[in-house]
Amino acid sequence: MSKKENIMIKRLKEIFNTEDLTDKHTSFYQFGGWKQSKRKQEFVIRAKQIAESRGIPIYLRDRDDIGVPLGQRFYEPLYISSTETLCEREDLQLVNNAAIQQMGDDIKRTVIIGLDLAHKILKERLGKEVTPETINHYMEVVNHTMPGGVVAQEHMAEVNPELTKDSYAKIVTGNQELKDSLDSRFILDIDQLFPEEKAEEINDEIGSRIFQVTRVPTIAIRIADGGIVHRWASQQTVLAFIAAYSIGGGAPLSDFAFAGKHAQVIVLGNTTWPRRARAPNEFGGIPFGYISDICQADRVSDPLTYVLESVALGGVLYDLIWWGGYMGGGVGPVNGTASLYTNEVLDELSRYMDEWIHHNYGGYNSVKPSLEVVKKIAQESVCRVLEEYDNYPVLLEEHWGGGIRLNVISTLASITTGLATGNSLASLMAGHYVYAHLVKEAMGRNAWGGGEAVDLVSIPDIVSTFPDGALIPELRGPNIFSTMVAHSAFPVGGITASHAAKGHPWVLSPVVKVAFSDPNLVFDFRYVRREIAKGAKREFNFTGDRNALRPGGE
Amino acid sequence: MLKYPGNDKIAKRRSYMLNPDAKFKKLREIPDEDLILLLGHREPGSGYRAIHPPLDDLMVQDDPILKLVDPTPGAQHGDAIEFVQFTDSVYHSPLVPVFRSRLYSVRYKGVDHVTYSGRQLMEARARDLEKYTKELLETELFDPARSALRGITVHGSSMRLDENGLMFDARRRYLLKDGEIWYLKNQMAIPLDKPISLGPPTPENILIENSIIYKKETIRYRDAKELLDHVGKIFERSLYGGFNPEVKHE
Amino acid sequence: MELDFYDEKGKLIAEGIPLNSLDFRSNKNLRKMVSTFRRTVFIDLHALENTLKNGLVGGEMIVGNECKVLGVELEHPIVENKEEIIHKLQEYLATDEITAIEDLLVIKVPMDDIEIACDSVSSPILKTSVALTQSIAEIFDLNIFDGVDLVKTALLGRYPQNVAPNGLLKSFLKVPTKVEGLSSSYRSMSVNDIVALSGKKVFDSVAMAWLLEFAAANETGYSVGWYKRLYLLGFAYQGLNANNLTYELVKECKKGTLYDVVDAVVQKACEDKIIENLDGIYYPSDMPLWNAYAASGQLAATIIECGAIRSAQSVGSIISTYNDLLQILTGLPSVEFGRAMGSAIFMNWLSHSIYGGGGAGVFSGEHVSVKGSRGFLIPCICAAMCFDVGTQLFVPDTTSKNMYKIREALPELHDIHKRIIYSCRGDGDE
Repeated sequence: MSKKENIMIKRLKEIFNTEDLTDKHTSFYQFGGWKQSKRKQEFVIRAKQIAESRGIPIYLRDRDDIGVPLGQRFYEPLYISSTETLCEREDLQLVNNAAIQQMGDDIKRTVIIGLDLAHKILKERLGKEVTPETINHYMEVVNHTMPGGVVAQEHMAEVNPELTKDSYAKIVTGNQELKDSLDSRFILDIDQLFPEEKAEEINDEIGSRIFQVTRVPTIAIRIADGGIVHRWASQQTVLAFIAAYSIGGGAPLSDFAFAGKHAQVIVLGNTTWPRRARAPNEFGGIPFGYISDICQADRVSDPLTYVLESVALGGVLYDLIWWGGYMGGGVGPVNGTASLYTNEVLDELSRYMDEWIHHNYGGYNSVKPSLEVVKKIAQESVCRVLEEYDNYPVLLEEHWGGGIRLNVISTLASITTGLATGNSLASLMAGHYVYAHLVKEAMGRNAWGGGEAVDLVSIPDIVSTFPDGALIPELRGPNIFSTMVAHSAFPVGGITASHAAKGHPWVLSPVVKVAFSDPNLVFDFRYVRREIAKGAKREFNFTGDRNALRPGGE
Repeated sequence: MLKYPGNDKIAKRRSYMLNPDAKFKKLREIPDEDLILLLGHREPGSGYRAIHPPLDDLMVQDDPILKLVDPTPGAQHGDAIEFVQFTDSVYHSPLVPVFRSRLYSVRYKGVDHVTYSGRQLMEARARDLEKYTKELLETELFDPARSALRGITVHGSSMRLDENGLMFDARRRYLLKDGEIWYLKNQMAIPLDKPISLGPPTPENILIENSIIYKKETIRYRDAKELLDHVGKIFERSLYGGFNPEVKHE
Repeated sequence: MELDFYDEKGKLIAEGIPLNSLDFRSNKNLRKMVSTFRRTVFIDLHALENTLKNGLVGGEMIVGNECKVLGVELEHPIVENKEEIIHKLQEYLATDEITAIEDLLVIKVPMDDIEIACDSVSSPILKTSVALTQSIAEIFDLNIFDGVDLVKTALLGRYPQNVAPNGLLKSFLKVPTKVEGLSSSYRSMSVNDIVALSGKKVFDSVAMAWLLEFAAANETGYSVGWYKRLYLLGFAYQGLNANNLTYELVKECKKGTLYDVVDAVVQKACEDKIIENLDGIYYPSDMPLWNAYAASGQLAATIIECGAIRSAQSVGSIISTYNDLLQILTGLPSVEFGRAMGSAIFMNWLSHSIYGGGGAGVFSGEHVSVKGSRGFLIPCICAAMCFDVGTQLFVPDTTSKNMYKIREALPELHDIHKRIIYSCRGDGDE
């Protein structure tokens, strides 16, 4: 293996403020308790002001009779991997990090509408001409209606554009001629946004079809749930068509409405099962393959970086936001997810396994999937990490809970298997094998209390022909019990890796892939971790706020 | 007799732990009163809290299957179900959570438990619980520096050790004094009226000698070939069984 | 393959029963038995009278009632008019299968309706609500401002403002909008309901739970083709004590712990040449049969351990650890190839933590945490609940009181363990 600088080691030394990472002894109870944390100190000061002004207590960290005394050991900060950003755990809490929220918001507020059916109705039913000029005009109108402008009826209230300035619509098409004749402001230009070879494949697949990528304003999903998105988008789209093409009458309108609201609508998230019932476009309903597509790191990075960025995206979206909210009410599960994108740990381990693949199999996508390969890679992943824990007790301390360890190790095994075999099913098997069996027999301890439950169920299920088994990995998601519980990062990583290994330009949908290549998005999906870091530093410019409505707002 | 897979030192020690006939070495004496105080469920000298009348006074359905199985003494008396929880250090606590659940199920009747990564919760009828806890605390299954009673704030299993070799405890339930480990608080971190000694820490070399953890100081996991093959077989058979149980796979 | 069946005293009750006779397609009595769960609805007339009298409709709490609508109260002697209500229901529903147990009416809609219905789980409750509302309107001469809407609301609760009826008119199974997964309504009865309906007897509860799980497996395709023997054998061995295996395991290991059951199951499977031990690794010759043996052991372990503590709360840990030991000590797959263990772990965690909670009795087969085990877990949880002498808050005697009464009206579900076995040899044919 190569002798490159081990950045994980460097980071561990920095965050634990020690040169000796091999010592399994340290000292406790002398670091000043919770006051070690600047954030907590800030919170305490602010809490006192709030308590005074509202007359009800809030956040009593400075009281010693409220539960556990925090800070009895060293409260190490965290580096966001791939960045120089050092932060505290508090900065990665969902509520405290605006970038994490916007990451979710930008996905949730997206809906893609096929325009071909609408154009067919215009041409065939209404005898209207559809030309690049009419489409350009329509796009202007839809960018007026989408943020809340009125077109068809007087006396309707309109929306302050300051509040909906992140709402717009753009076009995706693989038709070069059409693209060239459309207003570039409205085009997501595949040729500009993707490397040449990938652009060609994407263009070919999308072909002459025309899709409208629609962003409803963030404030809409902060008022309602994901179910509002395709309704808002469709309604404003239909109104834009009416105005742009001067459509009257009733029955053709309803065809339009059906086309826009139902027939050609790509909603990213499915409705979830009754006990977790959420509307469309909530995260629990988004299949893993879409996360791989939403992640855009493959446009700017090597395959492994793309995989790691997708792991961060999947981990945060599914485990921190969805699972954390569904199971824990939104407060808490920071550490398991953060372990996937902090301190260069997974990065360094992955680089090791990457080299291991090259050494053992010659490179990516170079070995046929088999249980022997799955077991071998899973085993090596587990052994490597456990040996690193042996070598560096601080790393084990950093991975202080079984859920954290298993999250990292199963993800490592899954992405390595995906890269080596190019097979997403094999990548899932490796992750489940690690989570259900391998670590447990090594350490005599496993994940959190219910951790391996889903893996034990998944091992027979992912290959059974049961109606609720054997769904291809790309289409699985947290709405399936077998994969829903608190470790959805490894399937995302494994699936992304399987396709990255083969150089595929997308994983599940070329249209979704292009939709998130949009430079106008608030969250930059090329650099997931860098964006989270900005959020941690409070440097992320988010949208969806109501500041314009405050006294003195504009 | 079924045994744990493998023939290395760790596997043998694991098999020993899971042997229902094992007589674990007694390392310390814990008076009943101290045990009761450490658990914190009742005052020494007081009776057991009851959750229902003794079984003899209860009307139960007429079912031969019920009659087939004898209740434990605690159940017979209607004791409340109480808990004990242990946190085990990765640095060779003599028992670790997964093996606690296995060992409890091999040796103890009428126990309920949940396995976490750092800790293991056991619940049982009060008098049964006290009996089982006594064995768990008095024998080689416990080391006062690397295993700990923790009903709340259980964190510490994966931390580096304190300079004196103790596992970290944010609630500081115990300290090392004059070569012995003294509990100043019960498992729920409520201060005790008197300190209770659980004896000296086990020397490091003995802990490693008796460890059931695959680790650098013991045996590397990658060298536990027989175990890995065995675990791989479970995985493979479960997978193929899920696909088609009628096809035979070795 | 033929099997012998034994009762709860270990006594032989049927010999040489072909395994396939447990298949719904070849056993019309089993079909009839299971239809009872779909076509039966029940209503407590006393509760209805009280609800109308106080305007207590629309509450969503499982325990207690947060809603009371003022000014709508209706004071009518519903209970006093029980016979008249029955008479009208018989007419409107075209059924003569209505039984009154004190104030509780147990109503079976005709089989014909079930055969016609697309959604035969929801239909009986919807149809009965219309018939009953009309019956009451006619008896008490209610017009549009006289509270007919209140009567209907009392029967179906907030439906259709909510997505599933939750009024006083009840059925055994949950309607599809409340169930996790298609064709899973047979898995929707709570453990406590099953236990109470089977008289809180271990073998009967297990058999009833298995009948329901098996019906769901039949409906979802879990028991088709490759998987058919897995389910037939599971039903026979774990569900019905085939070849007295479960009983013998309990008898042999009752002084021991669940480890002894693991040991005994492995020995027995070796003796019967279902598995073979080669240098410490066990090789199965018939995987579905091994699974059935392992599943019998899982039930025996539950009986021994929940019997010892006389509580149901430990059932999750018993099943997870039984399977854990079984696989690690033999290299064989555990029950359902890990599904039972996985589901038990999740159930154990949920029933011991802040994340949803509830004791064993409130779980149902299609619950998200346990649905991964299709058939082999819920029967054991039912067995566990039979041993609970009051250590849990949610026990059959409190959550499922009515089930004990309803049971009186449904003789076809009595002694269900024996009844299923006898159905295999054609007993009960009309």
